[in-house]
Amino acid sequence: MLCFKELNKKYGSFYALDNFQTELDSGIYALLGPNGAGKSTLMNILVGLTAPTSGEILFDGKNTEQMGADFRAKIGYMPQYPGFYPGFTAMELMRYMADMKGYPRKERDKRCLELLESVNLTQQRDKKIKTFSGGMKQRLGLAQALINEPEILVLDEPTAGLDPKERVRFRNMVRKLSEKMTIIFCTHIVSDIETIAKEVILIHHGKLVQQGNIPALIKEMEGKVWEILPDADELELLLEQYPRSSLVSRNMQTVLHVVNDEKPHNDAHACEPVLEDVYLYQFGDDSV
Amino acid sequence: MNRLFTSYKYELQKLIVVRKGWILLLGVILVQLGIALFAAPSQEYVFDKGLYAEYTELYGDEYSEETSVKINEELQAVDTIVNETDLSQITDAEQIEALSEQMILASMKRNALSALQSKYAELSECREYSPILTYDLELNEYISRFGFNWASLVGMLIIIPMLMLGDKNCGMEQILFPTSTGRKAIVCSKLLVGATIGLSMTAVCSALQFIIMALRWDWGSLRVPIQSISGFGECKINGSVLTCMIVCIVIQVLSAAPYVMMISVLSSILKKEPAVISATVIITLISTFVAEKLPSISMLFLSSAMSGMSSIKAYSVSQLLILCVFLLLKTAIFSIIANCVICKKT
Repeated sequence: MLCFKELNKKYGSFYALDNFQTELDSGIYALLGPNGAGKSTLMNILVGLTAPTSGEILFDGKNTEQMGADFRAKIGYMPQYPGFYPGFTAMELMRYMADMKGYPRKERDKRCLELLESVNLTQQRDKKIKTFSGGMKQRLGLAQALINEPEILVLDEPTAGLDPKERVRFRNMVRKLSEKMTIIFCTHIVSDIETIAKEVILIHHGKLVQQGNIPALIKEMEGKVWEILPDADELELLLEQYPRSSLVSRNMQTVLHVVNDEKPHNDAHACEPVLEDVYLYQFGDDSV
Repeated sequence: MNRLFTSYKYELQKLIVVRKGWILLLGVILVQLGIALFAAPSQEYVFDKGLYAEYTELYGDEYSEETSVKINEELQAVDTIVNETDLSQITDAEQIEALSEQMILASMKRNALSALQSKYAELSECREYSPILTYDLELNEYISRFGFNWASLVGMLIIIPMLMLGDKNCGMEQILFPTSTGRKAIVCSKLLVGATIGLSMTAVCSALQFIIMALRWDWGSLRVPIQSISGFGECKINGSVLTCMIVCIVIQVLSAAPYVMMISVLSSILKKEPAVISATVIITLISTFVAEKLPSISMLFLSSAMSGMSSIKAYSVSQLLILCVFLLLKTAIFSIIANCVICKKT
């Protein structure tokens, strides 16, 4: 059980995290929020890269700061843009990380090869990282995060820079891993997590805005999502009037999808909400 | 401890092999070799090469009171011949020429002997025991260049920021710090690697200077008292050139450690290699200038220890010991600062 207690992070007068608190169990927790919401700050505090201004994180009731190396041995971290020494080969990096994570020497190579295979990098294992594409680096980032068989896996915008095929592959891999560990999947891309997350945590301006499982969050949106078939003259006006709206294509027609507490237009009709609507509803202008 | 050792091993491997730091180290050694060879002039004699070569052949390579007596006896023999010869009776031009040559040579020898005697007397005054004096005294030019270890400092200036900023610049820091090895052990291992490289580089550079000097001169020359060398007459150390060179190497090597720590601190504060290099050069130049202007407190400055033979010239044995203590203290203080600055979570 991971417990965030009254976490604050202040830079001058700006609060990157404002009294953030929540509890996480096993499974995938999606941390959703627009850019600058405080997601990466929260992740950095969790993995020990940044110190909180106040508050604490507890793991099974123990302060993670005080646990030190014992806590770090339980986490796997994949940063937003994982950077590696370009002169290392994939296998050399994996060995290095295994040694730094204190993985037993005897089983090290076997574990590294297994993980490289799981991220489909076996053929590239002896190639220098400088020759890798962005997607290959992301996969290698995930492989290194898993070396120590972590209990908590922290993924900070892991799909950034991946093509659609790689994103699907990545999602499936994360889903498989979630059976054994707590995964914190930090993203601003709703489609990345809508089919895999056990719970979604919405964060904005450093504050926890909403937390719950996806069906519950969507249920709360019922009666707040509307669709309008506007004529060309009205479209620009409606888009300006309702910033929490998006254009979707239905049966070769352009439909305006509006998230609003009130019916936005006489011709508007309520429609089935999706997770993206929750995101639009909470983050309003920032999310568009 | 095990984690520290593992991290140390990898930091060394990353720096020397992966980032090709060995090329830089080789470059530093070659530059030092060039400096040492350029600084070492061929063996020269103070007064007359032929004359001192003759003395060396006749009396051995060391000047002593016994040698002085022998040279005096030789000169007196010439005087006797000249005195006993009735010049008015010599009419043969060749005989006159030979005699005058003998007199000129005797006069030169007298000058040389008096120079040796005065140097010997000078040494006897500033040293408690019987001094050694060789006929070859031209070590000065070399020793004057056995000064500030620039090659080593330049090497450290390039390699330490590489070591300290490498992980940060390529983004590895983010995945390394959250491992069980942790930030403190990684930073500590980096400082240890920096100290190892800085100390080894300085030791190799100093040793190269020393070996080349020993090869260009004979070991006998290095046994002369340091006071025999012009400019070192006031030196307060009762030791040979060899002893002083070894002390100089020890001090220079010791001074590399605080330099490494200082460059590490600057690297973590300034975060850019050019800024680190500029700041270190400015600090070194200012401290050298202030140390020269204020000799009474010069040993407080890092550059004093790095400046080689001039520190030997300036300090007594007890002052050199204090200088060593200061260097160890500075290393400790800078390493604590480096640990605090680099380990501090933002």
